This record gives sequence, C-alpha cells and structure tokens, in this order.
Amino acid sequence: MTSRKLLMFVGLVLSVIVYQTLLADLLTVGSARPDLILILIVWLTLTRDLTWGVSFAFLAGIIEDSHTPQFLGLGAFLKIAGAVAVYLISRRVRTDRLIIKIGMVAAVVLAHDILYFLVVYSFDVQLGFATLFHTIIPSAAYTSVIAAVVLYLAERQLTIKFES
Amino acid sequence: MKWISFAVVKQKAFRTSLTLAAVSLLFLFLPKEARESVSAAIQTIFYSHFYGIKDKLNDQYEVLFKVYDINRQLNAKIVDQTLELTSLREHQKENERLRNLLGFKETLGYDLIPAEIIALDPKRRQNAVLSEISSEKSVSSNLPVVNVDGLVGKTTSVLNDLVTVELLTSPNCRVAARDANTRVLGIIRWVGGRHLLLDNVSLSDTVRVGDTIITSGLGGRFPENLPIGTISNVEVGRSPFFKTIDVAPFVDFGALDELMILKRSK
Repeated sequence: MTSRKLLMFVGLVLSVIVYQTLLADLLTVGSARPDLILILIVWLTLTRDLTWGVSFAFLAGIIEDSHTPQFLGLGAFLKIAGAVAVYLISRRVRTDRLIIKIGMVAAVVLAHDILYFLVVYSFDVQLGFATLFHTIIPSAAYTSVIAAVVLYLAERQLTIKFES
Repeated sequence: MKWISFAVVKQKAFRTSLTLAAVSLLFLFLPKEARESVSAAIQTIFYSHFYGIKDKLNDQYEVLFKVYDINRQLNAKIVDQTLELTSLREHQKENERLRNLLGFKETLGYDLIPAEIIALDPKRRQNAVLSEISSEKSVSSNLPVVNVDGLVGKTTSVLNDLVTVELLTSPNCRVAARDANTRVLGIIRWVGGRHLLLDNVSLSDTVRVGDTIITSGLGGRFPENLPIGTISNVEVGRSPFFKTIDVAPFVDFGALDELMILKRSK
C-alpha cells in the first residue's frame, strides 16, 4: 500500500469517526439513521478491491462496536461479510449503473441490520420483526437516499478526473 | 467447495477477509472484562478528542441560541417601545392642540439656577442661606427652590450673591397643593413635628393614605406638579369642617445640600 493510499484510508477512517461523533445525531430522522460506513464499504469494494473493503469494514466496525462492548466484533464481522458479498455479486452482475449500486447498499444495510439485531436480541423473532419495521427498513431507505447522493457525486468526481 | 478452497488458497483478498473475520469473531468471544478493556482503549484512542470538540461545539451552540433568544426578546421590546413612543408623541401633539383650542396658557419652562447651602438654621430649620449664585442670573424673591426629591421652599431675600430661602418647614410658608390621584385641593403648611399638614380639605373630599401631594400651581408662586410628599395619616374629627391630613415630605430637610432655584424662562 503506497503512502497515498494509506493516507486516503486513514482519511476515510477519520471521516467515519467525525461523522459518528459530530454529524450522526444531526442526520438522524426519527428512528432512521443513515449508515455511512456501509455506503463507504460498498463504494470501496466496488471501486477499489476487496482488500480495501474488508480492511475498512474491519477497522470501522471495531471502532463502531466499541460503543457496545458486549458485542465487540459483531458489527465488524457482519461488515466484512457484507463487503465479501458485494465483491462476489460484482463479479457476476454489472455494477456500473448507479441504481444497482444503490440497490446493493440497501440490501447490505438490510442484511447487516437484520443479522445484527437478531444476535443482539438473542434470535427473538418477535422483537426482531418489531425492530425491522420500526428501525431497520426506515434506516435502509434513508441510507439508500444518502447513498444515491454520495455515489452520484463520487462517480461524477471520478469521471471528471478521468476526462481532465 | 472446490471454488471456495480455490478462492481461499489462491486469492490474497479472500485470505485477508477470512483473517479479519476470524479476528472479529475472536473479539466477540473474548471474556467480558477483556472486551470492555479493548472497547475502552478504542474509545480513548479514537473518540476522546472528538467528543471534546463536540462538547465545546455544543456549548457554543447553546450560547449562540441564548444570544439569539435574547436578541429576539430585545427586538420585540424595541418594536413595542417604538410603538409606545409614537403613541406618546401623538398624545403630546393632541394635548398641545387641545390646550390651544381651550385657550390654555402654554406650560412655561423654568431655568434651573444651581446653588449651594452655606448656612442653615440648625435648630428649627426654617431658613437657609444659599451662595454661589452666578451674577448673570438675576434672582429675586418668591422663586421656588427645589432639589432632586421635590419642593424645598421659596426665596425670600437677595443680597449680592447670597439668597435666603424660606423652607417648607417654616411656619410662615404656605403652598397651594393637590392630591395627585383624586385632584383634591388644599394648602400645605408646617405646624411642628416631622410631617407637614395638608389643610383646608373638607370632610367630604376623598384622600387616601399613600397618595402623592404635588403643587397645584393655583397660588401663582409655585409651578404646578412639583412633588411635595405622600399622605401618611388622615384623621377626621379633630376639626369640625376639615380633615387633618399628615404629609411626609419627599425632601429630607435635615440633609439639604445642592438646591436649584426655579426661574421662569423668558
């Protein structure tokens, strides 16, 4: 990993920390909270490679998990699994269209949150269902909207760089 | 299975993924104390500085919000007072018009001539001598004398720059006065003691303890509306025709210092 790449990686991790401490509360609407980390994981896995995706997933996941010590590692594991899933899907499906990327973000957020809350609630399906409609689906929808903006801007930025 | 083993063995990215996933699961299955220690360490390393910044930003935001709130209140007050001021100005103009219509004399202004007491009758405090009168100001007798609290007395004689003042506490001093609330007229005089007496108020007139007594201007010597004191006691029955009304003067006649002579401006 070159120093430029390392710098970019550190910048991304820092942006996650800044987002979680300073911005996350401001962006929360009701029970829906955008998952910026998962958006970045999908974006890195699709535009860089799997190593980038899982490395970022592990570090950001562990940092995020430090808020809930009893489940330290769970978020990181699910995020790594999400990155691997995105990578495997991207090998079989064309992912150059923005809508596909947004769909992948929505699917990863849904899968991640459902599995996370199932483990947290000790596989209590009733409680899981309640959380699904109250928190998980609104968060996935909100994250998809944010992802649409972020991925569109990122794609445009890359195109401009390529053309210039 | 063949594909999985190929991926794991051949592809570096998958090996990295498996390693990191294993490390994550290792964290998840650590003893409770160890997990808490690791979490605390991560929080300290990554979050402590940012939470400090967040707290400071929150404080600044609260201060800004308070300032914004105070600003809104002050703006509302300014608007309120501007409206009140406009209304008062309109009332002033209306008052002037009505006075003109009714043929009232315009309330005349007075010049204030400052003076200092250089001598005071120490026992009975009936008279005082003033000095430091500027030679440019021609002072005559029978001019009202006041201080910041209210009416003090009137000038009686002038010799060079020395002026003698007859205080309200002199038995010879009489002032036409009225109750500021009920507009009842009377005469203020001193009959001994600490208080003044509001005389010539008939038994049927209404006056209340606490009412302010001011000059009525009817005697022609003192302008109207100069404060004199407040009613401290009202008695009925001592006189067959009048109420006995005690008035506590606003002016402390035992501590007179700077006085002003009121002279009608030309």
